[in-house]
This record gives sequence, C-alpha cells and structure tokens, in this order.
Amino acid sequence: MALNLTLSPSQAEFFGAVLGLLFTVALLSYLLGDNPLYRLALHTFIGVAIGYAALVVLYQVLVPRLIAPLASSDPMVVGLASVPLVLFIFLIFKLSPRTAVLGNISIAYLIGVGAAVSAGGALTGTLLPQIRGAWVSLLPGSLGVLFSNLIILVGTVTTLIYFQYWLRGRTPAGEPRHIAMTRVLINIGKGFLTLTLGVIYGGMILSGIAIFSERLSTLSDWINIVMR
Amino acid sequence: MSQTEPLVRCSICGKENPAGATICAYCGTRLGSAALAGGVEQPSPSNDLNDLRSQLGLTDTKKPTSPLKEPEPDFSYGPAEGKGAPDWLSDILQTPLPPAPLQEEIPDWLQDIEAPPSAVPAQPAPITDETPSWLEDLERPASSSASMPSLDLPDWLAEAPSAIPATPPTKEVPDWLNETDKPAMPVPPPPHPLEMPEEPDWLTRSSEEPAKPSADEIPDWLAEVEGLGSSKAPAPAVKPPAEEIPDWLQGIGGPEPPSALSVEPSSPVVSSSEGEADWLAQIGLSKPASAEPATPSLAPPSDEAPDWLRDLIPSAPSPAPPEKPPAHVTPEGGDWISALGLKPTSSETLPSPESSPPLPVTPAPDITSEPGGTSAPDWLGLIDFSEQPGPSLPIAGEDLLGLSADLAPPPILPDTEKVPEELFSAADISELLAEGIPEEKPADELPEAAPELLAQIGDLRFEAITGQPAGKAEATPETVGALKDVTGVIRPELLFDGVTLQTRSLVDGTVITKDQTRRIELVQKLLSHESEGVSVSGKRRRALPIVRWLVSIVVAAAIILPNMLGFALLDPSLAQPDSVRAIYQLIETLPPSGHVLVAFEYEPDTAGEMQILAQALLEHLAKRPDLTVYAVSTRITGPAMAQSAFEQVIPTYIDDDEPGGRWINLGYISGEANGVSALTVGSSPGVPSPLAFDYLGRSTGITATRLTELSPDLIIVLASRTDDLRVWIEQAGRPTGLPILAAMSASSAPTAYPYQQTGQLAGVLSGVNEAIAYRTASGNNPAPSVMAIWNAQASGALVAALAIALGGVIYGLATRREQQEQD
Repeated sequence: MALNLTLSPSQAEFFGAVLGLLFTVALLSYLLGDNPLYRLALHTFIGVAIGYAALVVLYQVLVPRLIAPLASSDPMVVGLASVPLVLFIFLIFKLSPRTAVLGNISIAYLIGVGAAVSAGGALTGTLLPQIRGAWVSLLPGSLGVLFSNLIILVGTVTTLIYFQYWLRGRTPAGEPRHIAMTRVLINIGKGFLTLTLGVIYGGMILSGIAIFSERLSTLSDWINIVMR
Repeated sequence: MSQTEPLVRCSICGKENPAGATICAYCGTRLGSAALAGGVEQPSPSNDLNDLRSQLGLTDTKKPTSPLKEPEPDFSYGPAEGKGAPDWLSDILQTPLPPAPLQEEIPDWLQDIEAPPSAVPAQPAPITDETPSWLEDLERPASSSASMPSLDLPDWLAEAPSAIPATPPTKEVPDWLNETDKPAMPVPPPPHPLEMPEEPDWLTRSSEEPAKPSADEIPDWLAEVEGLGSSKAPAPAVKPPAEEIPDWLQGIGGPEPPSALSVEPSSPVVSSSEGEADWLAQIGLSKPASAEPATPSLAPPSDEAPDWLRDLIPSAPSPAPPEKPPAHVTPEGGDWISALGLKPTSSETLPSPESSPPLPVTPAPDITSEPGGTSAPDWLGLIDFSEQPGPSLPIAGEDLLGLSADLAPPPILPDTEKVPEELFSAADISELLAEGIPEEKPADELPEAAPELLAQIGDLRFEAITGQPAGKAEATPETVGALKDVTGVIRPELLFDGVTLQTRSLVDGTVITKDQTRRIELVQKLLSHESEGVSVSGKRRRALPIVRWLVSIVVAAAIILPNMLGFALLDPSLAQPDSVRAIYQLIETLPPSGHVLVAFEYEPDTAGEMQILAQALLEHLAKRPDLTVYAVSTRITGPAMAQSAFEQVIPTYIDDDEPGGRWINLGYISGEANGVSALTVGSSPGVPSPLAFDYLGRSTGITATRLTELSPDLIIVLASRTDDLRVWIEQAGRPTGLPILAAMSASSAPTAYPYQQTGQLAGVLSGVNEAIAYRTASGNNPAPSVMAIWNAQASGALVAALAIALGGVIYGLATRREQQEQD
C-alpha cells in the first residue's frame, strides 16, 4: 500500500499557514532577545534556502549547461563543455592546501571576467551617461528647468568637492583644516549628501512598514485559516 | 767686646748690642725688654764657642769684636759652587734678616716664655766669644736679660759674612729664622721627622740650676767648651728642671741648628778622634781640652737615652725621655754635614763615621747658663726626637708601586758600618735613627670623620650600589696596582690573561636605582591590569530601552490599528502622479505580439512590497494577450517570486507552449552581471542559452540565443536594490538600447532617478504608493489587502516622521544646553 504523501491544496495551505505562523512568531521573538525558538526558525530558514538554491543550481545550471553538453554526441560541444568542467575541478582543489594552487586558475578566470564585465559596464553604462547627464545647460529657459539644472550642477560639484580631502589642510595640532574658499562648497556638498541619505532612510522606513504590514496581514490570514 | 757702655745681649744670637737697641744688629731679632733692662751683659755664647774653636785649632781664630766685623768662617756655606745651596741657607747668606717682630707681635706664649723676673735664675756663667751659640743657649738663664733660649743660629752660621747683617734684613727670611727671637716655637704634629719639636720646658725654665754631670762622664770636647766658657766665670746658668731636659741634650749642651736637620736627613752625629775636632770646629766647638765637665746644666740622661748621650752625661739626672732624632741616614750613610751641602775649606776633613772616635760624654751644659756654659740653640729643641719611627728614604730595590707583597718598605737602617764604635755604636745609632724618625700619625689618631660623611662614603662603595655583600667584595683584595691590598673597589675585568683573549661580561649586573625600580614596578602593574581586563559589576541591562520600546509600540499601533479598525486614511485616487501615467502609456503602446522581459530581482524578504508592484504591472500586461512575457532572474529565489506573481495575476495562467501569448518563466540566470552579459551577447556554441529552457528545465522552443535576437520591446526590472537595476542597465540596456522600466522599492527608488534623468530608464515606479496609483490608472481597483498595506504604510510613516522630528528637536535642545553649560 503506497503512502500517499500528496497534500491537497487546502491541506497544503493549512500546513503552510501553520508553519508560516509558527516561524514568523519565532523570528519575531527576537524582540525579546536571543532564544532557542528564534534560532530554530533561523536555522530552518537557512537550511531551506540552501536546499532550494542547490536544487535551482542543479536543475537550471549544471544539468542544462554542463551535463547535457557533456552527454552530447557532438565533440565540439563536448570539448567546449569540458572547459567549465575543468575549471570546476580546479576550483574544488582549493579545499586542500597542497592542491590549492590549481584553484587559483579558476578564481583568476572568474575574477578577471567579472572585473572586466563590471568595469566596462560601469564605465559605459553609469559613469559616462551620468557625466553626460550632469552636463546640463544653464542657458536661460524655463525657470523650472533652469532651477533644476542649477541644483543638479551645484549638488554634483559640491558633493564631489566634499570628497576631495586633499583640499583640506592640517592645523598645527594635526586636525583637518579647510581652505577658506572651499569651506563653503564643502558644507553645501555635505548638505546634499545629508539630504540624499535622509531620503534613502525615509524610503527604508516606508519599505519596512510596508513589509511589516504585509506580514501582519499574512499572519491574520493564517490565523483565520488555522482557526477555520 | 767693649763693655764701656751698657750692652744688651741678644737672646738669639748672643751678640751684644748697644744699649737702647731694640733690634739685634746681628740677627735682626727684637730685643726684649728684659734684654734692654739693666744692661746686663749676658754672656755671649759665641764667645765660648769661639774659644772652643780656637782651642780646637779651627780656622777661625779671630774673635769677633763686633758683630759686623766678625770674620767670615772658613766654611763655605752651602754646597760646592754650581750645585746650589738650599734656599733657606742661601737666603740666610745673602739676604738680610727681617726686622725683629715688634713686641706686640710676639705671641703671648712666647712672651710668657721669657721668664719673669722672679724666675730669673742666678746669673749664668759668662759666655765667652768662643762659646758656641747653641751651647750658650743652654746656659743662658731665662731671665730678663735675655729672651727665651729659643731658636738660635749657630756661630758657624751666624758668623757668615753676609749671613747675618747688622741691620735688620728687609728681604725675605725664612720663617724659622724670623722666629729665632721667640723663646720657643710651637711644635706642630711632625709629619716630617726633621721638623722642630716643641720647645721643651727645660729650655724655658731657668729656675733650677742644671745638674752638673760627673767629670768622667763629660766628653773632653765638651769639657773644653765648658772650660772655656768657665774662664769668664759665666753666671750660673739657670737650669731647667732636670726632669724636663732630655737626656741627650743634657749631655751635649744644646740642640743643633734646625737647618742642619731640616734639609736632609741627618746622619748620625758621629765624630771620630780625628774628625771630631773638625766638625766641632766647624760649628764653633773646640775639642774639649779636658774632661772637666762644663757647668752642668742639664740632668743626666735617663735610661732611655742613647748610650752615646748617656756617655756624654753619665751623672746627669735623668730628665724627661729624650726625643730621639729621626733615624735618617744619607744614602751614603755618612757625613751629615756633607749631606747638608757643606764642605770645609780647610784641609780638615769632616769626621767620618768610621774614623771619628766617640766623643767623650760630658754633662750637657745648662742652656740657660751664662757664657762659659753652653746652651743648645732653640731650633734644636724643635726637633722631634720622638721614639716614633718615621718613614725612611727609599732604598735601592724598594717596591715603590706596591707590586711586592709588602706595601711597607723595609725600615731603612743606617749604614752602621761607618759609625765609629767610639762614639756611637751601630746598634745605638740604628736604634736611635729607627726610633727617632717621627712617624706619621697612625690612622687611629687621625681625626675621625663625621659619621654622616662616613655613611655617605659608604653608600658610594661598590657593594652598596650593586647590593653585593661586603664580604664578597672584601674577600678579593686587589693584588696589583696602586690599590694593592685594598678591598672593596670596583674590579676591572680581566680581558686578557696573557694566553687567550677572553671577554667576559664587563658588567656583573645592571645597576638600577631605587627610582628606576619603582617606575618599573608601576609599568608592570599597569600592564598586568590590561591583561586582566575590567569586570563590570551592576544590574543586568534590559533588552530594550524604554524610549525605543515606546517608539516601537506607537509605530506598530499606527500600522495595526487602521487595519484592525477598518478605516482608510488615504484615497487611491490621490496617488496618480504623472510619472505613473507615462509608464502606463508606455505599456499601453507596446506593439502587438511584442515581447516583454520581466526581471524579478527581489527576494522573499522584500516580497511584501515588491509583489504589489509586480502585480500591478503584470495585471496591465495581462490585459494584452498578444504579448509574450518572459520572466528571468539573477537570484536564486527569483523564479519562485516570478511564478508566484504569475499565478496571482493570471489565474488562468497557461503553462504550456501555446503560441500567442505566453508567459514563460525562464528561471535563474547565474553569474549576475556575467549572466546578463551572456544573455545579451550570447553564449558559446554548444552551450544552451538561458532562453532555451524554463525554470523547470523544460524546453521553451526559443531559438534565439541572445537578447538581441529575442528583441523584446520592453525590459521591466523589478528590483529591491539599486545594484540589480544597474546590472540590467549596464549589461542589457546600453548594449541593446532597449527601454528599461524600473519598479523599485521605496528604499532604492531614489538611486534609480539619476538613470531616469539620463534617459537610461523609461520610467520608475516606487513603492506601494505608485503601485496603487498604477492600478488605479489601469482602471483596476486595488485589493483590500493592498489598501490595508497602503494605509498602514501611510499611518506608520506619518507616526515615524513625527517621532523623528520630535526626537531631533529634543536632541538639538539637549545638545545646545550642553554647549551652553560648557561655555
């Protein structure tokens, strides 16, 4: 007699609700301090996350991109697929200090490719476009546009000046001392930075409230399900 | 000497001076009042000495008639020409004597020595011109007639042509000569054996008549002297008490000149039968013609006196223990006169110790007696003939550096071989010299240092500094060098023992002062405290502070209460910004059968907010059934989020390969930026593209291998972090030029606006607020849950804002107050 471990949607929903409720309460118990319930929930989450990640990598990376080409009959495909296999094996050699030297090849390839892609993308995708975007026109136009462009210009310049520490001298006691001319610009840049950080912090509060609210709503739903 | 007018005899030189003279014309001494009073003609000791000299057949046969005309003695004073006379002697010879000190300059003790009139003894025997001065001093009474028989120059010295000018000298004169008018000289501790001892009392007193030695005990030469002196019937000398007269002096009649002994160690006073007369004649003494004793003026020598002296005065009463002369001897061990640098001009040779027979012992004349007797010069009385042996001259082979085992040199004994048996026995001389050398004061007699000084010195010793026991240092006395046999010194390390070069530790130990030790202990204590750590005692700290709990409760209440109470603070129609309409229009204007790539770049932790945005956009896309929607993610949990969103939007989501509108969940793309870049530019041959398989591994049937081949019309990036958006912008948007729509969380939306400013983003949706606005713009009413979240977010944000503002105000006021208090 086969054991039917398949859950119906309602059962799955029920168990899901119960587990979710329990784990949520357990994690929220951290407000009272570190406790075993919190640690249980935390360790469970870490384990589930690692397991899910492993399955995803196995089924969405290793099998279609490594195993399947190696099993192909095309030698070209097999040869090309063996390159990541070799690099993978070299990376495993990092576990032993005696063979760790071979793993440096894989790491070097990863770091090199990653640095190149990131650096190129940052340069062409962020730095240059942002510089181009800061090159705004202050020609007389609409007042709003002019004011906006002026703020952009001032904010960009003063913020960059704020991070130019070489412009700051030293007092005889060794404390940083600003040059009189740049002291004002540095303070303006500091103001722009303060406003930006404040806005980001406000957004984080909104996101947190939204998440907390959603969690409370979910808990209520789970309770209704359990109570039902 | 003329005696027509009252004359005053000098008590020092014995010369007669005119009455009324205050200063002796011969020696320059000040004539005392006693000498001036009465005009007593004192017997001149020089007369007796001159007589004796003439009797002995000495060269000088002239009798001095005037002090100024006294013939020059035959001696050549001083050493031979070219050798240089002693300074004291040359000064005497060449320089006039200084004026005698005034009466008030004479110390009291010296004045007192000038015996009072009551103490004036009987008139001593007259002193003839031939009487040696030193003999005259023995007979001269301590009366008013003369001052104390103090230091007196011998005739041989006084008769020098230029030695003693008549006028008082004006140039420098040795002090000992200046003090010749003093009756007695104070005797300091004699470091030098030849220093004059104190004036014995017997020289100062003149109340007693000197004891007359027996005739057989008086040497002939002395008897002659006394006989010559007695020819003038000198007044009986005032003899000092017998017990105060040294024995040896009692025998010979007086001390010798001080100069004779202060320059060089004196040789034993020896004389021979042949040379006896010579040296006696040289000093103004003549060989005694008979053994008649001179006027006894001294007590017979005591048992401690040397034999030779005892022989001179055998019957004299024993006076005070004689002061034996220092046991000095010339290197030659011979002639003391030649040692003085004197050489006779006559053919007569100096008496040698070997050949000179012993002089007959005659009683020493009274030094205070009148001429006829003899009196010892005062300077002889200063000789310390104590029994303490003094240091001897170095002899050949003596270890001067203390390298030998014995520091103390062997006692220098005189060469007794040359001592005539007749006069002096070798044993006597050696004994005399050995005993007569005044020795340095022993250490126990030295003045003791202050205890404090000794303690301070003791602290400077090596043992006190290093802390070594004193015995250890003292156990190793020095064996070489100037510090031989001395212990307690810092020993130099032996570096080279002559065989091998050995270098030992040059410092036995580090010398640390007490202050350094204290500081070292303090540092060690501080270091030990650092390693021990600090234990904080007190109550257990609470989990959360009250203020934080209060703020948390208030904010939570603001979030929960609206939903629990079921009231909405905000109207969805209020949330319709222009940017939302533009996005809506963008999706609305997508071409038919277009492709939309949706990147789910958020995790379950931010799903509560991002899911609302995703639902809003997907609902709008769902209204276009001709569009194909592809879901991808560079996060592990992205495909799960995509699947959940797909199922919530399209309940009738068709998960199959139906053409014409499909929603395909392509799953996970590994490598983040590399994966997106690979998706954009394509993968290598043989490597399947991410578009070929879905999240379950099933084939999608998509032949395109790169994003450009897929050519989507819009890329929607649902990202909770700015980095994820940036990756898609940099790797997908720039290379392909495809429009990218960003749906960001409220926390990361501000970082996405610069990209919108530069045109790299088609639009940005931020948070729950714009999600509701987008849903409203699309004509869909937001779900109650969404509204609840929106309301809760609004109320919670409001309360949080108020709390932040209030906290900022309170903190600012408190800081200002602190600054004011500090000011």
